Amino acid sequence: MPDQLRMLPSLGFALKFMALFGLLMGAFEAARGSAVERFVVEDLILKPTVAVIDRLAPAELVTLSDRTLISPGSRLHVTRGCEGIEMFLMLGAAILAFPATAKQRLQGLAVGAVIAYVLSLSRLIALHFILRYSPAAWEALHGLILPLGPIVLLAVYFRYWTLSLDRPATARPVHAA
Amino acid sequence: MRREMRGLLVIAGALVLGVVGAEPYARAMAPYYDALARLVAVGPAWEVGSVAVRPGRSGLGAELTLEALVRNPDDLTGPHAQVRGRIQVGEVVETPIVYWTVLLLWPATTLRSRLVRLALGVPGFLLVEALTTGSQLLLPMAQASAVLRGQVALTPWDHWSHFLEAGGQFVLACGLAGVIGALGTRRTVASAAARDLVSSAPLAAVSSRQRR
Repeated sequence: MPDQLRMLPSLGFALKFMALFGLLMGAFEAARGSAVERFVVEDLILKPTVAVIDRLAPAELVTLSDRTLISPGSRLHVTRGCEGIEMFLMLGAAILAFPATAKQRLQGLAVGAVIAYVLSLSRLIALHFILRYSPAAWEALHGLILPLGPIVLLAVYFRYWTLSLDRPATARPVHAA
Repeated sequence: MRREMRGLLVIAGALVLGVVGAEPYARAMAPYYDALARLVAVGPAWEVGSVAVRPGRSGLGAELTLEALVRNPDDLTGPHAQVRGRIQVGEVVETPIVYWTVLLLWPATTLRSRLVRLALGVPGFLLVEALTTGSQLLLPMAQASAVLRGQVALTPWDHWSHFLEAGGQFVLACGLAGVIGALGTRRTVASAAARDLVSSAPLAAVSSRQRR
């Protein structure tokens, strides 16, 4: 019986998560090419990435041309799926699909967005240095580890967030009638 | 060991397995993608040549490659296109890694429920592979068809590909694994309930006889 009870919310969550991600992703795709999308991808993600690389290793002489990170020894073209937007969309879909109050969701999204942002920038910075100094590792890192690693970390955060929702309820003292 | 820690170890192991096994996996699955491409490419307009793992264009590793011939369906004798669909083997192994890791980590109370889930997982896995890697391999054929027909707007294949590239691949793999995980639990519980019902039936008969 407990299994059966557990099954229904899990199924509901999986279906809601997929549907909400589809909606969020559809909305973002509809905005592709717009000023909003350019601001998010170029001003909020790519320019800070170049600034961080420049700060960490000024000798890299990295510049941003359209959506390509150019240095004397490499050209990293950032395409759809590499800019890290999917992390925000997945986190948003997961938090919206999980039963919680609006305040809890906002808190979860606020903290999660900061984590997703740091992970997005870190991934692009890592990709730049891998392409420049360790191209042999490109396939494994670009194809598998760097797309999945940040998502695993976000999943750990999501798990932590869901557990934090249970705490007040379980910690509540039981009163005799 | 705490469940969370065990889960993280399984995930780390899966990633290592993915790194080591990406190319052998892509080679092993190539016949499946080939069969899938031939199944989709019905009619004379799409002719699948081969699906195989080859060295990558940029020299940064191997790629799963589909080679095909695309003709204009409205003019089969007119100009045609030689197309090549490519996916890095590291990306090919993403979907199965995510799918099976989620399915294996799904909480199970009995070995039986875990086995039922794994059995249900196989058709789900073939479906998710077709929807992700399979469709991405076929994308250049759809794009070439559109170009030959003079179509400039994005095709549904393009939209689907954008969805997959923007994280949809992970979401599909996780979501389908979640659905199968939940259904596997339901199936096990339903069959356990049926077994309980059957085993309690003679007792019910005895008690009704005693009442008489």
